[in-house]
Amino acid sequence: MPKKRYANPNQLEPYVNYKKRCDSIYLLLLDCGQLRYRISDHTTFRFCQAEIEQIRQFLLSLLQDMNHCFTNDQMQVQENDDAHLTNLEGIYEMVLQVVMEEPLNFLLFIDDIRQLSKLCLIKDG
Amino acid sequence: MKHIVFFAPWTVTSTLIFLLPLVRSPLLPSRIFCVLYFICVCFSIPVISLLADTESNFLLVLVVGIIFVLLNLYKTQTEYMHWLIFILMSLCVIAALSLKNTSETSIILYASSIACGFLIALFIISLRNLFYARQLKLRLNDYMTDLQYLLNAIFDCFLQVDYPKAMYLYEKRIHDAKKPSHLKGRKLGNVHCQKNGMPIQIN
Repeated sequence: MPKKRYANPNQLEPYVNYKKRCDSIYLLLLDCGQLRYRISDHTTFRFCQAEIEQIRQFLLSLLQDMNHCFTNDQMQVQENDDAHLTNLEGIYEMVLQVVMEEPLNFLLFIDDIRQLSKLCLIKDG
Repeated sequence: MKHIVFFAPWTVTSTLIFLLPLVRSPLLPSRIFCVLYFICVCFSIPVISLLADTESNFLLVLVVGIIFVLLNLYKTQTEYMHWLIFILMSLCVIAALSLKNTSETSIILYASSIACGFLIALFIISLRNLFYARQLKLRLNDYMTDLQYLLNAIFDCFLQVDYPKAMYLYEKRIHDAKKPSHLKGRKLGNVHCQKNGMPIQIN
């Protein structure tokens, strides 16, 4: 396979876009992390421990896919199944909304995760 | 051999002049800028040398210097750069004045040596672009790895039962994971700014 040369600076544009995406992911991750301050009772997380673990694995696989595609110059990510996110939403509607003192904070977290997964799945072309 | 020795300083000087825009904008805009320089230097020096009058040397140097400073106004923001370009261009014009009584062939040789300098500068700029692309790729790779580390650190706070007891430990982990990502983001931002010809971010 011939090596790619980047003599034309316009070819740097995908990298700059990718960097912007990484920055947005970074900010969204920090926003997701705010949940630890927003939830006063930490035991609440035990209700959805399995779902959160699945979401972690799901996001990690998305990031790894992104990195893999980037290093192989594909510049696009394969579609991933976001069933874990739907599971968490189900748990939220059935259990967390009733049990939690601050249910809205969890809704914000779910929204952040959804945005994060959408951002990882954007195709640069 | 004699010709090469005579024209080599011209090539070196023009290469340096064409590379000047790299100081602030290393990528695409500098190429356009190089073309502007090329047109100005290649055409103005022979023309000035033919039209030059020894009595108005100072005025010529001043006028050409001002033209080049104005050309640079939209790209370079520091006075230092204006003065540097002014001095270099003035030196070129002074040298060009000595061509007044030379033959047409010599003027073509002068112009071609300047063109050689331009080509060398373009080659250096292309190498720089290649270097930037590779650097960007490596840094983005590291950035993504740090993001994964940050993701793990954040989710550990939710999932680990001892988080309320060992809050300091987990917060420290997040802090450590956050810092390199942030710094890498800044470095990449600098590359992005340089590409667009903007001043480099400090904060």
